[in-house]
Amino acid sequence: MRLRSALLSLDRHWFGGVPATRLAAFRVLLAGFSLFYLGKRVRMFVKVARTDPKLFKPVGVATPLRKPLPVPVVKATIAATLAANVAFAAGYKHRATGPLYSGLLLWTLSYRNSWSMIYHSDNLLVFHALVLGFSPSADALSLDSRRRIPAGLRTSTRSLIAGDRPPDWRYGWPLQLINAVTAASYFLAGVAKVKGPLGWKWADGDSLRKQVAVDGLRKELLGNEGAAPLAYRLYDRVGLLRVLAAGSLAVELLAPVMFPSRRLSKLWAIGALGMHWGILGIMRIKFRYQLSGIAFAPYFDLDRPVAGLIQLARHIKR
Amino acid sequence: MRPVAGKGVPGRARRASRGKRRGATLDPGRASARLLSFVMVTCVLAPLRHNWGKRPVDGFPLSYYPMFSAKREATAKVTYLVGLDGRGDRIKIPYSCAGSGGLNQVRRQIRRAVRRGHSEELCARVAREVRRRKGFKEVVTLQVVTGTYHLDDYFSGRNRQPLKEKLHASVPVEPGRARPGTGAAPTLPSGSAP
Repeated sequence: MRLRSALLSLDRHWFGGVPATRLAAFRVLLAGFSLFYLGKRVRMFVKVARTDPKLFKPVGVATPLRKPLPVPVVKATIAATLAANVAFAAGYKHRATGPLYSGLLLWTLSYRNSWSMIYHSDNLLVFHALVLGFSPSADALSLDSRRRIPAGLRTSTRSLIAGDRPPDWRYGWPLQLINAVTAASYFLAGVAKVKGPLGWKWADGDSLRKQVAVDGLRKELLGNEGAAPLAYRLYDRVGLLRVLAAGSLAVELLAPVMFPSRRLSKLWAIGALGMHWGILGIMRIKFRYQLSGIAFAPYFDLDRPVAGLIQLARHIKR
Repeated sequence: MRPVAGKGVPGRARRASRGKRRGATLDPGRASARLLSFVMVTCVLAPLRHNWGKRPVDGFPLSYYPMFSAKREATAKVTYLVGLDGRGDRIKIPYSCAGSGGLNQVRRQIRRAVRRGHSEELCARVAREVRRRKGFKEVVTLQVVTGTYHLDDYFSGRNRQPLKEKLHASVPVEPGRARPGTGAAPTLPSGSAP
């Protein structure tokens, strides 16, 4: 009986109604980030595709490939991903371009990660894009929603948000799924640490110190910039490193526990964002999607700033 | 007869609300959303099993996120590139001279090339790239080495020199052997992977 009531409560949480603009605002943020992220790396992706074929170790959806694709095919795939990304950002023919974009992004990033090293900073971006691509995330703030408005009204700022649709569960569950996937990913990272060779000792400070030191040494010997100055400053402060290690382990392992509560999950999102900025400061490791805050944006009411911006636009227009 | 307070009408209301809830639960749209959500969260959590496996395999985007979970010792080994000038002084050679895709990707590729016995080939290729690049004019010799460093000594500043260093390959950076005008990315030698 208790399980049933817990499931019903989760169901109510999962299908809570939210405005279409909340989901759409996240689509715009993610699409903007992805366009910037991919656009800046086109040359690098092409260079990686020219690496020695013997270093090709396909992962994810690229696994069926026996050998690397010809470079022109890679270039064409990247171009198609960027084009679909633009359509997805604009919310143009979303029923087709949403799944197309998320599928192409999954393919492009799987292929990019198929050369001996998996960059774990790309995983969340792909998961979130998949959910957005297959959900009605272009029912507002999109060209699709604008087309549904009579021609004479299309110049108004109101036309951008397409008729202020009332809160609906159809816009709520994709955001809940995105947040659940985020929480699950952090939980996995936490479990890998405590199930690894160090066990709970991972949180004793010394192991984090060594992780930071090994990473810093590699950067000193092979990188352009070297280790972060904070890596040197914190090296002898095991007590502080213990706090940081325990804190990051708590952020990772407690992610699913926080998830059902709106308030706690917001606090968690702020904690996770802080953790990534800490990692950047100490290790110079850039989880760009997370550092931008966009990965954690679905925990917040994104429709509010959108409404504020629209009000401001109306005010300026007057 | 007057309905008993708290029973008759509220009971009906409760039944109606339960019926409405059941209707929402059975809504086909919600049912597919529920199924999709369940499948996706299960897929994301599926790599958890690798933590109990003998030979865990990481994937993308379904990963068990093994980063930073390895046990580190007091010393660390790194395989890297070293340039030497005419006086024998060392010049740092960044990973980008050996390949594209980020420091850790190239570092792994270098290590793999050395393990597979392709150090000479790697060294020659990087030497050509170094010769082509601006800012490395003084480099006359290029080496591929594996250094063992004591982390405490290195980060406390007591001793930044390696405890030991193994030389895998050393080649002269000859001006005549440079490939002029090739804008192509330097790639690691063929046969450097399993």
